[in-house]
Amino acid sequence: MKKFLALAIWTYLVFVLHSGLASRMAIAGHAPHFVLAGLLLVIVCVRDGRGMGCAILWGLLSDGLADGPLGPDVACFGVSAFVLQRIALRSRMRSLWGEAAVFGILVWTAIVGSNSLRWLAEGRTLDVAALGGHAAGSAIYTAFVMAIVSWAARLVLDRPEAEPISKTPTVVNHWRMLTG
Amino acid sequence: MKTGAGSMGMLVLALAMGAGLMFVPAEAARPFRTLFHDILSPGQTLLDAAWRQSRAWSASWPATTDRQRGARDLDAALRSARLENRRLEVQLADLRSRFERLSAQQGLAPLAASPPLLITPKLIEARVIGDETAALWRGRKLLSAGTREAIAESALVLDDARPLVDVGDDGPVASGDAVYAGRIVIGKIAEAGRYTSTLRLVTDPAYSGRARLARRTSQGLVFGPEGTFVGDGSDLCRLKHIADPVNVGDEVFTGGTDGVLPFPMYYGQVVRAELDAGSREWSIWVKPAASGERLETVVILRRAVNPQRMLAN
Repeated sequence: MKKFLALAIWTYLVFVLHSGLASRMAIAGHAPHFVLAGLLLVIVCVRDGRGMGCAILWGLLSDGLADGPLGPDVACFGVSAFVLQRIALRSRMRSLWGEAAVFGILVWTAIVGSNSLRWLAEGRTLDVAALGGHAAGSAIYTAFVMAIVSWAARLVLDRPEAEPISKTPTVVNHWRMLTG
Repeated sequence: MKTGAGSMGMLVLALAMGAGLMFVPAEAARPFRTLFHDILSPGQTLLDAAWRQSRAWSASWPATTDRQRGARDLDAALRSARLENRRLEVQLADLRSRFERLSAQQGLAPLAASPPLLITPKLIEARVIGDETAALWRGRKLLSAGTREAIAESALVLDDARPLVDVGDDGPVASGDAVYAGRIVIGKIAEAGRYTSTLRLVTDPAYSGRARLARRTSQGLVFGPEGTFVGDGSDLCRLKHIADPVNVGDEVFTGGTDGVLPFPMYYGQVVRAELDAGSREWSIWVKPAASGERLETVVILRRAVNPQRMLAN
């Protein structure tokens, strides 16, 4: 129940920030994508079907904020969440900059994917170069914001950035004669 | 493995949902969008208030740049200089009247007492109405239209896009009255309404007034020829009908002194002067001193017939 409440509050906060603050923080027309940033942080913490369910729900809500048909964000957020879960399971993502790079690529892919679907559904001509360039700016900005949040969280939780893998203690299977 | 299969299933669900939702008509999605916007609205209002507050705090933060601080200091100095000017004008008038009274007491007054001045100046202070209030006023939203106590304002004033001052016929002011900020000429009253009037700034193409050139020399300010000061719609104004040599940097003051004001008022400085081949008159461009002013209050010069003079007859 506590986790559900925390997720509901986080969802509301992220969508309010995205709809009210992102455009004000834009640099040279590139605004951070708070919804994708918030979602990817949730996916890192919830690595099972519930995380994917959250991605579908957030995709639907994000479609509600955008113009055009519903659906593109549902599909693209789902794919991004699935890929992140695969990467997170394999590499455990311990490096801060590695995390930021993965987040940046996923955000870029999701923005390009959802906008392309939206444009195609509306019958508009797809300008891939312009869309890719614009999405790259937003993705870099978002990844930078996420890296700062992640770094701050590590400081608060006192978790070292790259924890050295401790050597497995050597087990010596030698019997020593104690008597005689 | 089970988790992986669950995630794969959810991925398929996401793709299927995404594809299916794209066929939902926009009309059907509208209630969902409206509801979601309504739910976000309180949070956005709160965020907006916090954003405005933070901007206000950052603007009033003491560690602003030196340039901003310098500009604020200069602004304050300008205000205090204007106040000081006004105080000195009042003091001068007082001293003049005392001098005249003492002269009369000591028998220094002329034998035949001159009659009081026929035309007396009257300075009326007015506030420049800000853009937002002016828009409401012009939009007749402050006029209580339709009510029994409806306020009526001249359509000429309301339909004009020029700056507004909060004095009209009730001031009273009239079209053509000169408008100053301290000793700087701002323009003239273009249209006088019942409670408000519009300003014709010196840069307005319809503005024209008499002006006199002055040059700063080692002996002080030396006044030169008179011409006509006109606005041309740009940031610079023109001074016409000047045949004598002109230098860039010469000052331009009001001309045609008729004794109403004890000193000439200031227009601005010559920034460009050319004498075309075969022409007798110079082409002169003047940067008006009023262009850099952020006007809040102005003074309107009203010439009125002295009632004492009327009563004397």
